Amino acid sequence: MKELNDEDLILYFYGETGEKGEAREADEIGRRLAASPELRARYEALRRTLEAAGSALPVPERPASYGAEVWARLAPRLAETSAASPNPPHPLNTGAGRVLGWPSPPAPGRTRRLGWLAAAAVLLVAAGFLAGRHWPRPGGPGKNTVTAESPFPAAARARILARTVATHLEGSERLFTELANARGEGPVDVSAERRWASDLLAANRLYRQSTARGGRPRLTSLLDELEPFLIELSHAPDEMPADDLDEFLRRFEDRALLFKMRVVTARPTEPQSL
Amino acid sequence: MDDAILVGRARAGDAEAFRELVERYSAPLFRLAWRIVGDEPTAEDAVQESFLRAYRSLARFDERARFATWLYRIAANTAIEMLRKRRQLKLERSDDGVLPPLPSTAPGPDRQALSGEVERAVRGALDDLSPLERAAFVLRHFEERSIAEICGALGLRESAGKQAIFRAVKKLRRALEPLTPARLPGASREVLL
Repeated sequence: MKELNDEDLILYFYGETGEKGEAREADEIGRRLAASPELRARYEALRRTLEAAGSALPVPERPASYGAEVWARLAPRLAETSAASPNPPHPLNTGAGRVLGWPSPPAPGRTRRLGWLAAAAVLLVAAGFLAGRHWPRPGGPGKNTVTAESPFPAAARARILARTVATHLEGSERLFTELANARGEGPVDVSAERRWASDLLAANRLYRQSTARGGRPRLTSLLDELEPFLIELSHAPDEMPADDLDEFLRRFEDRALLFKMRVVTARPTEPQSL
Repeated sequence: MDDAILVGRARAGDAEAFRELVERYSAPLFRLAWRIVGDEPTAEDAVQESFLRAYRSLARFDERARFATWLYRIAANTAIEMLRKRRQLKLERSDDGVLPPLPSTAPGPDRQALSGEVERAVRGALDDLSPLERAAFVLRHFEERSIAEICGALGLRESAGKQAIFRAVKKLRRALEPLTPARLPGASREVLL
């Protein structure tokens, strides 16, 4: 058996030694610990650290009425939604949309589709406005360009774009996380995610073009990688067989997109994350 | 009453059944969220948001699964998201110098006086972890979830889940090393960290 390193000892501490915590391997480590004072000292030090960490952080206590308090605050919000029809946030209703003064999406109803189109148009105009300010046209600014009149320095505009895209990626990340959470044995109702993906797709195309024009190749490439998954999901049936969903998520996981998105959303304005 | 029965009723539109689930799981969810985000207001927000998300997704909850596991998974991801947002806001504040100050996650003076060096070191080490590392460590160490469960909840491969926990433990050890062994519970002079 190979020499035990700290990682082996950490897994042993948590009872996770070997494949699925095989008792045989755990027994072997136990024997080696008993035989080697040096190894035992290492393990004891680790154990003390972890136990100290475990007891050092007392969680603030909640009163016995806490559950009732949570319910009192939650109930009015539940009344606005329905357990049977999930209502994920629209891209325009996210933090970045609000920061940029974009309108909130309309409430579901007969005017919903028309409302989305109007909101998408505003999104296009707003993004075009930002992009136009940021990247001057060939031939220099004319009377119709706004670059010279921009009240924001270029760095600030670039940062707004970076944060806006980060918010978009955060929404995408949440979509795929919720989709992964929905995995089960039988067919999964993905109708809400399908609509959500459709909304994100429109924004994704726009941001991909903007970042490409803005010379952000890594971010463009990430949006480019994300797009086929949004397309596929937006065209999925309302009910997806479990195997299809697993296969879809496996392909998504293989590209490590969730990780890449988290890197960008953690530090959106840092050049290396873009 | 059993969770499964309450979930079935809640799915059929029985608000009282969902209320019972909320009252049952609010405190454990708060503990989980607090350990991930490190401050009370954000943890409380995470609890609210988790129940809201759970309610919205109730229609597709697989009844063969355990409700508590499903709910914890939602809460862990919500808390990660909130921790990430809070850190992002802090970064923006340090970039711009114009955003209003956020409530500090550090303990107040009275709490500092009461808490020991170990607590401060552990807090510091946890604050130094990425949201994902922190959540993975909290789920493994405090919530005693298996690595397989953690990876399922956080959408990680097993190797990535293990690495997140290894990194968290290494950072904790580094933070606690400056303390003399005698200050750690149950430590003896012979054993060095």
